[in-house]
Amino acid sequence: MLLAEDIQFQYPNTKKLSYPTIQCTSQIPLLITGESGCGKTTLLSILGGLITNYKGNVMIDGINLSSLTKTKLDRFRADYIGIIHQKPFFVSSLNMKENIALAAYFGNVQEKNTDVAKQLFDQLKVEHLLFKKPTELSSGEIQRFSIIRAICKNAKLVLADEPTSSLDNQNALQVIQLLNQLCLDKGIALIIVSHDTRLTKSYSHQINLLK
Amino acid sequence: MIGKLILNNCLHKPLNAVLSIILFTLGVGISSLIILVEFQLKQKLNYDLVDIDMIVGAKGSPLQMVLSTIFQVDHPTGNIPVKEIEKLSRHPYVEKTIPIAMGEYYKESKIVGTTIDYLKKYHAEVETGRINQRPFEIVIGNNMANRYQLKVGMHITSSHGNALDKSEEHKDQQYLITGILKPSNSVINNIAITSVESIWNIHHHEKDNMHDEKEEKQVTAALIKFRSPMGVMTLPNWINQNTNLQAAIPIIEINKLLDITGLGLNTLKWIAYLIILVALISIFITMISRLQERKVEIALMRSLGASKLILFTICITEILVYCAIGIILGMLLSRISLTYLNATQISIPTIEFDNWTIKQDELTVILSIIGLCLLSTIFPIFKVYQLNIAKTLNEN
Repeated sequence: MLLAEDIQFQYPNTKKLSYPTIQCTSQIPLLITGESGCGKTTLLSILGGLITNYKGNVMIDGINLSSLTKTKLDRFRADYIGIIHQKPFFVSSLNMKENIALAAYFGNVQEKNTDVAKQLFDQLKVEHLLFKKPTELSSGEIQRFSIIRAICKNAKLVLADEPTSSLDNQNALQVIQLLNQLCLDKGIALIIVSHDTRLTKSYSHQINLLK
Repeated sequence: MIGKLILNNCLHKPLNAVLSIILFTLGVGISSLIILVEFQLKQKLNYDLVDIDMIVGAKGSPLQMVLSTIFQVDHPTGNIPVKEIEKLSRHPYVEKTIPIAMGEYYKESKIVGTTIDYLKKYHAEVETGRINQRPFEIVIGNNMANRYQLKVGMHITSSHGNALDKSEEHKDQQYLITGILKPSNSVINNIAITSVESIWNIHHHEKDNMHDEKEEKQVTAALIKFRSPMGVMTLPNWINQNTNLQAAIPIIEINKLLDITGLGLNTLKWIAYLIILVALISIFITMISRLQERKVEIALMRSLGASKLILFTICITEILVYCAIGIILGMLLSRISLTYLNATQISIPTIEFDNWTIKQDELTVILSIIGLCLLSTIFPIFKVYQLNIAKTLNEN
């Protein structure tokens, strides 16, 4: 599903970041760990097509991201990749239901996939929160909506950046279990970057980035 | 979905945009009101001037003579002998002469002594009753009838000169109302019309013992229509130089008046344009600060797959929504003000405004505002175009 080889990236006036080969399929989720500053979030941005001026190759479903024009990359991201950000961002003027609908709209999601969203609302027990604005929700609640948003758009790859960093132990465990289960059920490849040691036991496939 | 997003964005924290909308409303409202007043004033003046090539009256201010004789505002310059008018009417260049005898009032409205030609000139039609035929019969303009609750068959008493001075009332001679005219946008809507003989008789009766029967008959002025353009070129000068009469070309006098008032209107127009410019600057600043606030949301939407074109469209439409609200409120403001002016008519008693259509000049103002609004979106668009998604999302 995903293969990233010889990836190198350098921010201006900083040390060059070099990454090992990264491979991930829909059967086995991948956890990427490492100390703060080792480039975990940067790697996730490269894999998600948010950073484009890197060296190396990122292949998703057989498509090399660097071969796509900016417009095609936007479309590809909308169709193939769901991103769960470290800080869950939502459009503040829309309620949660509208936020999910907006993601589905940008991802060209068909009617049957909006049914998936309805199932997820039920499964993640957030139906009573649908008409609330993002600012009215707790960190745990809003992270659940991030997961719904990433999955309901029918993505083939979900990239999660520190999805449990702002959650307590109980919520962190619940969120990660839900994420793993949903991705397995729907055949979605899942890559999580985190320095949260609570997650290491949950993943058999792990890569540790060195600074 | 995009429509909902734009609407929600506009309604989210609306206070930021309220100032811009108020400024747009004021700017558009004032400029639109000036355009409407200017347009309708010209339309009204031109309508009242139809078929009047020249006015003759007593010597004095030509503008005063035009205002008092045609528009029934200001006092007449004096009286002139009827025989002079009769002489003039026989001139080969003159097609028609309408005598005007003024000086009589019912309360604050003027009673004009004239002929049937005056009513024909304004295409006056009777709503109830009939046209006056004999002395001391009178027809009343629709507005005047409504103002004083006058009905056909009622008798009214006129007063000379100052309408509010009861001591000057001609209590022994009354007018019989024979007709009420249909509403119109001309000067006759606000006056009463009787025969010239009624005005002569009322004064003759008043002074019967003071003057002999051969007293020279007089009128206040006469409206003249020429048969040939040669009349305009030769007669006014000849009359002014060789007779005791004064001749004035109404269109020239009115244009002089409009030139003077135009200066004031132009100043007001520029003030309105300045307010619109401030509104544009204000909306530009509002959009920049909103963009700063929503930078993360824009980056998020880009990461969700929104194309730059969609985000540009959202930015532009939001600005245009504020601009459109301002324009609509401004247009409403000008129309409501105009309706109020029409209803009160305090300062300009014979001028009415009744037009709700959008004028060409207003369209120019509206399109210019929309154009400038679009121009002001260039910078926000440039910012969206330059946005580094990964950096914005990771730094926040």
